[in-house]
Formats: sequence, C-alpha cells, structure tokens
Amino acid sequence: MGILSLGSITGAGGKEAALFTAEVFHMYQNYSAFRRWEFEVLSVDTSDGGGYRHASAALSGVGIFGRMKHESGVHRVQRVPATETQGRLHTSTMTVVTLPQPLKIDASLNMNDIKVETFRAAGAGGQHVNTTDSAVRLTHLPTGITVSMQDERSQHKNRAKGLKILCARVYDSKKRVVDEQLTAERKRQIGTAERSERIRTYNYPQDRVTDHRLGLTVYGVSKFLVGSELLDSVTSALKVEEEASSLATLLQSMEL
Amino acid sequence: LVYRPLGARQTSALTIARALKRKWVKALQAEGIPEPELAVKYIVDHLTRSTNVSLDDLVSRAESMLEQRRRRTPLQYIIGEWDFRNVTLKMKAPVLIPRPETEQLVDRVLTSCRLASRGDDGWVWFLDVGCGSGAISVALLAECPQLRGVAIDVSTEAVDLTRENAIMNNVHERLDVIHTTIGNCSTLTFGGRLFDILVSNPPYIPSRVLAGLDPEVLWFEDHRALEGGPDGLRVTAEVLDVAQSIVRKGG
Repeated sequence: MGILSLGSITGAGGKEAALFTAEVFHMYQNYSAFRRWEFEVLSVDTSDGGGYRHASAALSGVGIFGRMKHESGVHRVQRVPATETQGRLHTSTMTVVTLPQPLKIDASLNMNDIKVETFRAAGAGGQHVNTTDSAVRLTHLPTGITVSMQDERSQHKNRAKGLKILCARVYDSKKRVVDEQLTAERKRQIGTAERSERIRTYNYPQDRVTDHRLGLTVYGVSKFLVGSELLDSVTSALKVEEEASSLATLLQSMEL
Repeated sequence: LVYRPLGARQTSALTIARALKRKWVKALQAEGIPEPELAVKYIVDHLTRSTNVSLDDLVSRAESMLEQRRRRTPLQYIIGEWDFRNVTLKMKAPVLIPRPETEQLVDRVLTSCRLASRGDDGWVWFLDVGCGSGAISVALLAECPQLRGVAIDVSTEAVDLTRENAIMNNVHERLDVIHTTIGNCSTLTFGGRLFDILVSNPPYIPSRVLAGLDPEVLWFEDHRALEGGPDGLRVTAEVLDVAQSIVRKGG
C-alpha cells in the first residue's frame, strides 16, 4: 500500500510542452483507474492554450511505488504541434516527479520525552517554604523544543497550558522537517532530470514510444497515452529489470 | 486572532502597574523579600480584575497590600485567595497555604479514584485527614463527580475555611467537614462506613527545623499544620495507625 505525489512540470517548448504536460498527466490519471488506484488532483496550473504549466496529484493504492517510481524523469515528445503553421517537427519536454507521500505525522507526545521543571527552593521545599512561583518549563527532549508558562497561579494549569503549546510546536517542527525533506527530494529529482537524458520519447511521425532505459519500443503513441495496457507493459518491464539488476547486485556481493 | 484595543481603564492600569513595579520591587528586595516581582504582578492583577475597584483606589490598595508584603505577610493571605489545580480557594491566616507539590498528590489520588468501584450507595468515599483550606478535598470533588468525602482537621479555622471553599466551588453537598482529631477517627462511626481512599498531607517538618524557616511560614501559618515532632513523622504515623480501621480492604 503506497502513497505518492505526482508532479508534472512543463519543460522546454512553451505552449506545446504545456499541452504535452497535460496529456501525460491525464495518461497517469487513466492509468490509475486501470490499476484501480486512487488519483486525487491536488493542483493544476493551466497555461493559455489549454496545457498545464504544472499539475500534481496524490495517488494511493497497492503496488504504486514499484510501478510509478520509474516514471520520474524527462519525457520527450516529437510531433508537429497543433499551433504549427508550416508543418515543422518540434521537440518538447516535460518532467515527471514522484515523491513518497508522508504518512500522517504523529501529533501525540510521549510524557517520557518531556522534562518538567518547576520552582525549586534553595533548601527544602514543600511545607518548608511559601512560594507564589508557579512557572513551569517543559522541554521536549528529542527535539529540544521548550515552552515556558507562567500565566496562571496554579502550577497544574500552567503545566496543562504549556503541554498544549508544546504539542503544537513539536508537531509544527516535525511537519517542517517532513516538508523540507519533500522539497529537497523534489528539487533533486528535477535537477537530476534536467542533467540527464530523457527517459522516454514519444515520436508521432513514427507512431512509437521508446523507453531509453530498456531500449524498448512500443507502437501506438495515442494508444499509449490512454494509459492502459501499453503503459502497463512498459512499467512491468521496468519493474522486472530493476528486480533483475538488484538481484544481480545481491549475488555479486554474496560472492565476495 | 483578534486584537482588541485596550480600554482606558486597562491602559491606565498598565501605567500604574509599571510605576508600582519600579518602586516596590526595589523596596521589597531591600528587605530580602523573595519573589518581589511576582508580588507586584499578582497584587496588581488581582486589583484590576475586581471591577469595583476604581483606579484611584487601586493605587492606595496596592500600596497597602505591598506594605503588608514588605512585612512578610504571605501573598496568598494578602490577596485572600489562590488557585489550586482548577479551583480557586479562599486563603485566610493561619490556615496553611496549599503547596504546588500537593497538586500532584491529587493526581495520584485521582488515578485511584477512577479505578475504584462505586459502593452500594453509588459513591466512592474518601477521608481527608488534616484538610486545612480544603484544597485536596475540593479539588478531588471538582474533578471526580463520583466522589463523596469527609474532611477533618483539629483547627476550627481550617474547618470553617474548608466549608467556605466547598460552598464557593459548589461541592459542599458531597463533603462533610468535621472538627476532630485523628485519634477520634477510629471511634467515630462515619455512618458505619469504611472509606475507599484515605488522603492526607500531614505536617512533616521536624521540630528543630521549624525555627529556621522563612518568616512567611514561621510567623503566619499554623504550626500545627507544619510541625511533625522530632523526626517530622509523628502525625504521619498517627494517620497510618488509624488507617487500618478506617479504610476498607483493598482501599
């Protein structure tokens, strides 16, 4: 059971690239239906001309990651665009990014992780001393986040109030970490994609889709973009290839 | 989040508070009074919260209260009330002022209370030995609706204050307050009942240590609530002696 974020970002080629971006996004939408996954559109940024500058979706279902992770990278299309008046062949690109969707952040605090500090008398405390200092300082040890509370006259109330705030701050901190990780991963994928060769070419004149990692070509671009059996056959092949190569690596390391 | 502009009263109160602080923190520190800033803060807070205090009155009342503090009167007695857990209690000398640590004692008792099963009469019963201001009893009753209790103290002031605090917090119908000694407990029938829980915060300061305590404690609070004999444990021992005959099996 996996969850992932899908991002489609337009690359070189202006309006034509944006149109292609939209087509690829829809291909994955159909593919999700084909594989019985859930596909929830999160955001779409349209360009004039009807294409997408970028779009993102949240996918969930069984076997998602194994199939979709190889889709990240640059996809290239070669065709005569609808906007082209002189029949010239254009090459445009778009980038697909796939990110594991974070699991729900655990908002609860374990009391064992929290240090509670209250007024300490110089000598003996308790009955020995009169104090009006009901301040409480709570420290979440794993993160080092601290909350000091002295609004109330009762220490008990200060503790309760402080815990609420501490809980919220720890949650925010956890969320920020996760968000930063996702942003970093997204940047990394885009960067890698920009520096690398395209992973797949969609060539209209020759009516073929070639996956460059496998050196595999299937015929029928329009049919491919429908996002059912043709796409599925390619993702299957990529999956098998990955399993084979990791098996090979494993065997190699065992022989050493 | 909505920011409401401070009213005229509150703005003036702030100015007054700052002036009082400047003057009195110094004055209190000169006498070696602990927590001088808290004293000013709580006195001003208390006065500004009482709506029937005019701003002119505020200054003169604050000054007289701070003068009391300068003479070592505990803040809680000056203000006449303090908070304990989620309840507000009236404070009156010489009845012992509840300590913050006692708030945690109530936590432990609450755990037992929630685990205890109701008796035939539908209630879980506790006995509070040495109730003082009634802090423990009132807090327990306020936080646990299935509780009923009996509170005892040797001091008539304590018994009166506990009754007042129970009424103030609307738990008086579930609390009987009795002026008696621990020793008498085993002879008192309490309606033939045995208690599910016995709770007590008895005096535990050894006698020879007493004289060395801060004036706030030594001069103003009831020594009967503080002194526990040579080793500090005399009263605790008495409570434990009596416990056997008062608490039911498994309590």
